[in-house]
Amino acid sequence: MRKTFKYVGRFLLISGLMMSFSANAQRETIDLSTRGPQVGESIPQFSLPDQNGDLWTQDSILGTNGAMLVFVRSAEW
Amino acid sequence: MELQRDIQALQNAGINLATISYDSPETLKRFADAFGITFPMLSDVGSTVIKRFDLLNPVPEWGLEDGLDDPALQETFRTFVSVTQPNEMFVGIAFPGTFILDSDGVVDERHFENFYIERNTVSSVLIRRGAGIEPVEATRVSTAQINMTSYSSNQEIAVGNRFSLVVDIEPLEDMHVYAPGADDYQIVNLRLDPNPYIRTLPVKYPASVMYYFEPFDENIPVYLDPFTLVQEVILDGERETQQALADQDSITLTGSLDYQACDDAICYLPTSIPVSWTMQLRGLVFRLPGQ
Repeated sequence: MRKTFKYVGRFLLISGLMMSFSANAQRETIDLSTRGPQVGESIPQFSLPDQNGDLWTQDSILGTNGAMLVFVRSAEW
Repeated sequence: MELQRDIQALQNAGINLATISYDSPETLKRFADAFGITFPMLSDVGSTVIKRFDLLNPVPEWGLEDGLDDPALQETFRTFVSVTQPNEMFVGIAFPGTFILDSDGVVDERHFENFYIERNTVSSVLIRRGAGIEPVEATRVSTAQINMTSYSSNQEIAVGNRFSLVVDIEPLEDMHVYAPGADDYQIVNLRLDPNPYIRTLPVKYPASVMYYFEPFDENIPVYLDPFTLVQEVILDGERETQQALADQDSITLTGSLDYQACDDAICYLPTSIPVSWTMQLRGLVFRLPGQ
């Protein structure tokens, strides 16, 4: 009985290791060139509030010659 | 904040500016008030739009799940998130980057730098788009063949910034300057001296014209009209560089403009004009004052 537990324990340990290994293996290499809309593509639709609570969309941010849309990590840190 | 300082130049070019981050409107309001921000800072709490753009950075969650014992993950974390330890507050961040959209909202340019504090300066983007900026501090040099004006897109830079060193060249009357492809001549080139803190991108050349040079009965690519060479530079964002430059107020980059010019009868010897650019260094703003 004790031996069985030992085997089960070992099995669980090994499967745990395998799972964590496969989780690592599934993580994609980050290639920023493939992320986000590409040159010539339109950006997705959105409606987001700004710091004053005003709502902006993908169309309303555009000036007469377009817009510079900057993704930043955080204003807080 | 750098973007706010450049907003006038963008507006003059008819280009609106907006940022997107996962911060709450309240956080953005505090930041905007503290730094006098007037452009819209869009709040994407929950990162729904960031995900829709396929720009959600998954690395913060990887760090939380696995810790940073694995050197490969540690390096990835350091590159894409932070040199600090994994923290819940990083979850939901976007990959930082910039889209330049045309008036229909179609992507004209996109800039996503691998290292998280590498950022395009607005002036650099404008120069690439040909919108130009008024050089604040420019060096002007005239030779018997050309007038040259050199300046930096930014008077002030911070580690991780991507900026442009610019040389405007005006061939004098009847002169032509040799362009890429004129392999038998000194092709005009902006050459930077090695500097351990910078990385350079290939010099950007405008389109040249074909010129018939009668004395040699040959067609060669040249510049006849004023043209601009742009050398994009990234001031390294690595921690070592940040430390090395911490006590410096400015950085000076040196190099030369090498060219050869001819008129319709005489070909002058290749010439090298020394050029240098000095930019003030400033720290990056990571936090609100008082935090």
